[in-house]
Amino acid sequence: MTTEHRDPEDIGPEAEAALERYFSAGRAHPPALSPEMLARLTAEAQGQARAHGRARRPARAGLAGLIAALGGWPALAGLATTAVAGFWIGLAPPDLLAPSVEALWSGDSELALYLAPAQGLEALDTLDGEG
Amino acid sequence: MAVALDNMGEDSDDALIARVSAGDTRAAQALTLRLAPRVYAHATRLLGDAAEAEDVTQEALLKLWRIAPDWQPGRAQASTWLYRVTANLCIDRLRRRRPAALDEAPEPQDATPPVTERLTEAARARALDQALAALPERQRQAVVLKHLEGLPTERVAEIMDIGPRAAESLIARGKRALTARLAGLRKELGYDD
Repeated sequence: MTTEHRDPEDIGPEAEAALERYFSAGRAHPPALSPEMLARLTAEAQGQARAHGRARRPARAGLAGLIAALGGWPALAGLATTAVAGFWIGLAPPDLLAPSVEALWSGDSELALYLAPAQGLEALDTLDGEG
Repeated sequence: MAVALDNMGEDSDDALIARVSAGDTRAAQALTLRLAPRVYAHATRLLGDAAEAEDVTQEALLKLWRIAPDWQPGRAQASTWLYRVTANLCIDRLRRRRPAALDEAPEPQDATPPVTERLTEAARARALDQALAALPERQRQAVVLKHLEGLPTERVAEIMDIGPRAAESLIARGKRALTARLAGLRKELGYDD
């Protein structure tokens, strides 16, 4: 004699218990993601997080912004060294450069323009001798 | 799934999503470890195909990372949102498979166990997956959410965007169909329980 159920969709306690054994097995053995896939998904998630972090960082203003635009403190240190070296060469030019620099300062710059760079020093000596 | 595989078990999904949107890669890792296995298991059960389930998992999580900056804490549970996105992606794929394979149970792929062998837990889980694959997609989704993901009917209804009574009805019809299908499988495969 079977029990009569009011709800036609009700499967009854025995079938319910049998089905629960399958569900319990299903919960105990879920489809498992491979470690490789999990590593790939993690790397992708971290990449997305980094992108959000970059997008969120506000543009720096003022001196900090200028320094950042020039390439940060290391670039600024290089720039300062170059400026000091240039200033020093201007104040005390090395002997090699002295005649041509003097010619330029003395207003004889037109002469310097006609001289090929490699021949500059010899040409100046020749002119000095003739003068 | 109640077990947190990540090392930020104390943090809520909402808190971790906020940290992901601020660029925290550790939060991204923790959230992936927490959510990806659930998404994958759900997708596999709905699709019955591991490779496709991997693609769906990747797509669903990518959607989450993309909306992370606009995520509103407390508005919806991240897992509810993900179950819904996952199911939609799976249903799209199932519909693309039509008319060839929809609602057809796949043939048994594993070696048939000896006649009258009692079902081991793992074999029973495989038989269930096979029987689930024969259900109409909405019934399958409702049964999986309720009985395999262990969600209350109200959340099943919320995820499926239907009323609780409609969810109950889908679950009941799904279980009836499963019972019939499993009885058939037991005979087919020679199991005695």
